[in-house]
Amino acid sequence: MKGARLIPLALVLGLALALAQDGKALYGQHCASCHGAEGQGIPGAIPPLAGNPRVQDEAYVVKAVREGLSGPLEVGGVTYQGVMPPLPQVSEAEARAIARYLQGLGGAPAQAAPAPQVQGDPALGRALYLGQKALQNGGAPCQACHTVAGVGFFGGGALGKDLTDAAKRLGGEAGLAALLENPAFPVMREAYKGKPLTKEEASAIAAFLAQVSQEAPRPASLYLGRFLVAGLLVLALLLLYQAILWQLRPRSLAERIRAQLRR
Amino acid sequence: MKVRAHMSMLFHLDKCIGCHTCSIACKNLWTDRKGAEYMWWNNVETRPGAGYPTGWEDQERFRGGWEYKDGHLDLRLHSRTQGLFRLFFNPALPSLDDYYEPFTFRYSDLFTAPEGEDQPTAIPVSMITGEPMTPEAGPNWDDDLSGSPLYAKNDPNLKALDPEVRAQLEEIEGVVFQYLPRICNHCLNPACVAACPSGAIYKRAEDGVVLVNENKCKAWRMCVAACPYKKVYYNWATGKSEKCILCFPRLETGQAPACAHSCVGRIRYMGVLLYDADRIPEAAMVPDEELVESQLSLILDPFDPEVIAAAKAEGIDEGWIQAAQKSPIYKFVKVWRLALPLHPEYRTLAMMFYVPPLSPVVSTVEKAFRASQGNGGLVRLDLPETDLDFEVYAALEKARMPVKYLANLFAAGNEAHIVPVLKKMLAVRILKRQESLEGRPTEKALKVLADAGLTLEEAEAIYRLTTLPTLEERFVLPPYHREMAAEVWKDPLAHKGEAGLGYIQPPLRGE
Repeated sequence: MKGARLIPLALVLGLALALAQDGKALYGQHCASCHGAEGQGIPGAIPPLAGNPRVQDEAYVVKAVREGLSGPLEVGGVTYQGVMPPLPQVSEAEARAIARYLQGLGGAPAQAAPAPQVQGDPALGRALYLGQKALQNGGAPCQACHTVAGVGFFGGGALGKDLTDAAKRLGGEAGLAALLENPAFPVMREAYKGKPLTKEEASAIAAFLAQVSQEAPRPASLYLGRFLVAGLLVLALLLLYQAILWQLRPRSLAERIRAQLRR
Repeated sequence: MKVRAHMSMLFHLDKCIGCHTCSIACKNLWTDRKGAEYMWWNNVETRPGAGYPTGWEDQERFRGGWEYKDGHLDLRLHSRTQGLFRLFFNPALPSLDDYYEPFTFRYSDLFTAPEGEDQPTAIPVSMITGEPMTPEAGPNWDDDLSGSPLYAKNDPNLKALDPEVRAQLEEIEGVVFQYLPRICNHCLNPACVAACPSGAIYKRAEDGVVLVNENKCKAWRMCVAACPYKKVYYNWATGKSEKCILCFPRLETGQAPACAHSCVGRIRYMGVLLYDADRIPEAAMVPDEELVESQLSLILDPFDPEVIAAAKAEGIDEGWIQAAQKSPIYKFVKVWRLALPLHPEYRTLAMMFYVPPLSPVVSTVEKAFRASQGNGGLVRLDLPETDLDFEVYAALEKARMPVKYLANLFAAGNEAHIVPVLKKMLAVRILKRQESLEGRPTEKALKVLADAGLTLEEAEAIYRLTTLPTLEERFVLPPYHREMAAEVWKDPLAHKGEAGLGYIQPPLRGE
């Protein structure tokens, strides 16, 4: 009967193994694009997870994954200023699986892996951003939802965030390039499902955004004000056109006779 | 052959004195309501003139009636597709400016004005806004050529006239005008019915009255634009279209329509015509100059046994057939060929008929004659009247009311339809005048009569029905047998007892 007692234990072990493996797959799907395949991070932009003491706290990891992080964060003597977006599409159980996987990585100290070489062409990035050059896989150009300072009189779309300081917020050029290839933001993830950016496109856009980050972000009210003024101008033109049409309308016989009689 | 009965009215324009009693009778009976102030289901126009609404005959502007092109008949207003795009903007629709802004006078001022140096006056106020206004137009603003010569000059029927003849018309000595009373023509091929997108307008099978179903009307106003006579009106208060109903509640109770009944000059006649409903399309699709002939060919002989049998097969009552046989309209239109429809070129087959008016006795012939005698341009009436008659008869083309003008009104410009009518009427007048002067029909008068194609008996009958008809001779109204209609769904005696009781549903906007 001893063997029979071992069966549940084996099952639990098997399940735990499966969960751990699951955690690795989930990590690859949701986290690796920024934090690296081995959890090494991007020096100066995205903190490493391997050898990071914080990942030992499962509750902390689950919270960070599901609700995001922002503000200064010190890991291994380096301070990171970026923002980690919330990933609500990752369920709590999945987040726990990821946390368990991260705990398993634990032993190795944070490797100062060489920063991946990202050398995009900002001019190409600008063209892609504006949609002047189509994205290879058919994704929508960034301008459709985002605004950056100094591009377009009325700015761009208002659905997404102003991207002027994106390079600062999201881990510099390298971080952005990684993020663009596999976007973590729920809306953006849906929008680019099945039509991801290629590596070159991502790095080009990242380069462009890094360039733009020199500019000071403009307030949203500036674009709104411009839009209102332009709208009023167009309305005035339309009314003027109508007034001219009304003056030129064919007069009925009754009107013509009355006008002659008044004279 | 599909025989149908039609209640038709005839206007003897030679007798019209332009008193507008008909218009007032109609106004008091039917359009003295909110939203209907500007409507005149019956109006009387002075011709030459622009009419009401101003310039209604200008179909380039108002796009009424039918167009015969490439072997089929199309509404001039629009095709179905065009109609869909013009549902909310119809440039052919007359505006209130084309009618007139209805006004009344503030009579209460006469009683409530404070004591002062001057007599109080009742100032004109708009019936739409209630604000004081200066009336600048009305339904008969150019009555008796008053108001301004501009109205008369803009009569579209003068278009085909010689410039010389037009100039003569405008001379003060030669000024001439006639009256044209108008109601809905209750057409056989009504453009208003065809244009209605809601199917709210229909022509009653029993007597041909064209009616708007106020419950179905959805205020598209296509009928207003499509009617070439501009006799459908839009009530801005109820949001429904309205039109002349030929006083059918009066007809059903054996009374003539109010306009006809009140007519001072007794110019109006009412009677039944039998027509062939099967041949309506082919009658409307002939060249302009044949339109009168083809329309009159639709009207059937009520004495023909074949027609009587076909009428009975269609369920037309014996009383209606008898009324058709006694119909004064049938006599004027078909037997004597004295009456014509108004503007047959609109191809709606108008079923109200007009006897065109004779010109004033003194013709341009006489005027020219006087001028040659050195008596200047002014007309002198010292020539014996009998001689004048013969002169006019011999030179109808010089009549003061140009034949071409009458032809433009009543015969799509075909003078060949007007000349025989005028000749017949003149011949009867000459005959009766000779009889009363000489005591007998003179040789000269009989010659004229024969030339006009009338027998002595016919001339006498025309004379009697024109000048001495009794009420029953003018209005030959068929029995409507409403009790038989009521019998279908109710005990007729119970229905009679309950008449006038029950619920009234006033037409409401958007319903």
